[in-house]
Amino acid sequence: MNGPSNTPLLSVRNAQVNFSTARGPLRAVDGVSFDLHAGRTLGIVGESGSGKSVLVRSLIGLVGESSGAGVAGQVLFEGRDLRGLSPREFRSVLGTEIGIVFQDPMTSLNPVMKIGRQIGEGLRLNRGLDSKAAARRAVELLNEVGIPEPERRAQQYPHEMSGGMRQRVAIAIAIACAPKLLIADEPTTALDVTVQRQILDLLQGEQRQRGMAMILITHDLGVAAGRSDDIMVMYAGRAVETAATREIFRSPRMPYTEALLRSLPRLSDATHTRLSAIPGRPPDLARRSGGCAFGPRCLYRTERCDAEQPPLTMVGGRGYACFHPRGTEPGGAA
Amino acid sequence: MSDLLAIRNLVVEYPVGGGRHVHAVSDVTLSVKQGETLGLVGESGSGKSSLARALLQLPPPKAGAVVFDGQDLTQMRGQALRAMRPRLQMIFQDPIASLNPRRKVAEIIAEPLIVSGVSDAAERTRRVRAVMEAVGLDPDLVWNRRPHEFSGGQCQRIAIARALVLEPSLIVCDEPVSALDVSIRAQIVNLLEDMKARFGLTLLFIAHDLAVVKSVSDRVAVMYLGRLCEVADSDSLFATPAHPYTAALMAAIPVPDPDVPLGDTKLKPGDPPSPLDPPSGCRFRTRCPHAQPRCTDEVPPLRQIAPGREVACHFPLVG
Repeated sequence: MNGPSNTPLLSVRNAQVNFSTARGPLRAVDGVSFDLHAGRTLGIVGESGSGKSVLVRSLIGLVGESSGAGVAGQVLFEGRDLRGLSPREFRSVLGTEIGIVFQDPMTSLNPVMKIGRQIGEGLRLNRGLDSKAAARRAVELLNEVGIPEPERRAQQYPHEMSGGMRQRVAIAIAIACAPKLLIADEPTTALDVTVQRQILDLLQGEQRQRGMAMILITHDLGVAAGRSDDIMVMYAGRAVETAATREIFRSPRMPYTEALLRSLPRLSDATHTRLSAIPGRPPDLARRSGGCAFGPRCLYRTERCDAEQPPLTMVGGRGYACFHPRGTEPGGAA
Repeated sequence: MSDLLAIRNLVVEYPVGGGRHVHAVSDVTLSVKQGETLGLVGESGSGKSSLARALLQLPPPKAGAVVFDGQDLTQMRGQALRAMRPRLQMIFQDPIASLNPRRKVAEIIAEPLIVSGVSDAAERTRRVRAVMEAVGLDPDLVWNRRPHEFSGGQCQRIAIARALVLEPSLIVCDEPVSALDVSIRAQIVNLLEDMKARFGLTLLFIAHDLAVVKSVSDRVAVMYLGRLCEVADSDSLFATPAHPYTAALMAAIPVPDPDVPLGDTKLKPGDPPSPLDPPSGCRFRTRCPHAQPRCTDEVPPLRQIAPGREVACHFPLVG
């Protein structure tokens, strides 16, 4: 583990993303900061609308002026400010140092280009390989990501493959230029559970072998538990809790995290055990109140929670955005 | 308990051109007891949704019998089948897509009453109000609103109200919480459990999330590529899976506890085969760690290995 004294690979400060909608301005990401060190996996967990995908897409320029979003904040990658780069420099960083795997490989792959050529494309453009060398390397990469008969598969189109195979191809493309950071945005949500398992094993294997850092975006707490070193929980556009994975699951500080973990059905529970549901639903981001966004659903809400937005407070290496954190009161369940 | 629903040798196939067929459901025999929740688990292509639609005759299966409360639905036509419909209802995965966006919530919930011939408007209003209250919707707030004004969880409540309004005996729930946010799922699972108790329902609960299935199901059936692998009461199935596929499925589930080590699925590498061209013999054999030559030659029949436990495997892990 890299100590905090090392420069983080990725450092995000006060990231914001605003959309203007028919119902007025909508702050999808509201002041999120985090650091990611080389070789570590950060799980970003949240429900739909929590801002987890928009946050990460804004960091790599997929959400920005061109998509009608207002983006603010600082993004340092190896100390370079990504938002200060020219478009050409930025593309070069994206192509070689940051790899991306999306949820649905059918929409992220080019349907009319043979997969071998798609994998080799980045190597030709960014690493200066000629077509032959790129094609050879593409076959090696297909083999590395566990695709049988890689020579034959390299000549196929995405529609000739299953969902699991397509996601392997997407991973091969993402790692082709040996990136330092791999971003996986719900990489297994569209896949069946046995295939999901294989793809997560592959991602983790590649990450360890290559010493890449990874951001794993997921709504599935089970996936985050098994595959990340640290977790950031997002709710209504804000980071509400951040800690080492084990700490999050063992003693959540944020009442939202606690409620979410309690609401999950467990295989260890007897059939017909009543689930402890969270009342209400996530807030409408176009109609923000001044207080804590989880307040209306929270068991521990007080007047202060309605009046003030709790900031993300860092205590003992972990952070939470709550005036009444769990497990910290004297004699409490810490 | 007697069987409310008995599916016998059900076959569902879809033509895909060139004389080829998707073998969606192949020779499935399964029963649902009065008052129980039967969980039906499987991955995409397992045939679980095809089975659900076939038993509601949407469309009727290619072969087999669907005996509901003593009558074979596959032999019924026209008026007789329509007369049975109110007793069997369905809830779908995507609650927003399953509701007509142009209709008001009250109209959506009242529609089954109109279709089934409840002509008294006051009677319809009374029943719609009652069922809205039962599922936790405030009639005065939601009556004239339309589905797009609601979240996914609220839309699923509307869909549940629509399914309940005819006071059915059986509700087929096809992935009813998969499209919902994690913080909403428990609400809807609890609501289904409450409605089951209150209205004396029998449920067929289809899902791929094993923890949700275990939570609601008295018995569980596991499907793979159109065939049943295993049927057992929930506790035995999850404690000691007998079919290697059930065991793999359980080992593959991501457990929300970092102290639980990742299980070993023991699966052979490779993807599930296509239901267009399923393997001979046991359909799981191409991924099964225990496959023998016999598994290629002979289809393993679903057989009883203990009271209440059936498995379709030549070499089951228990029994």
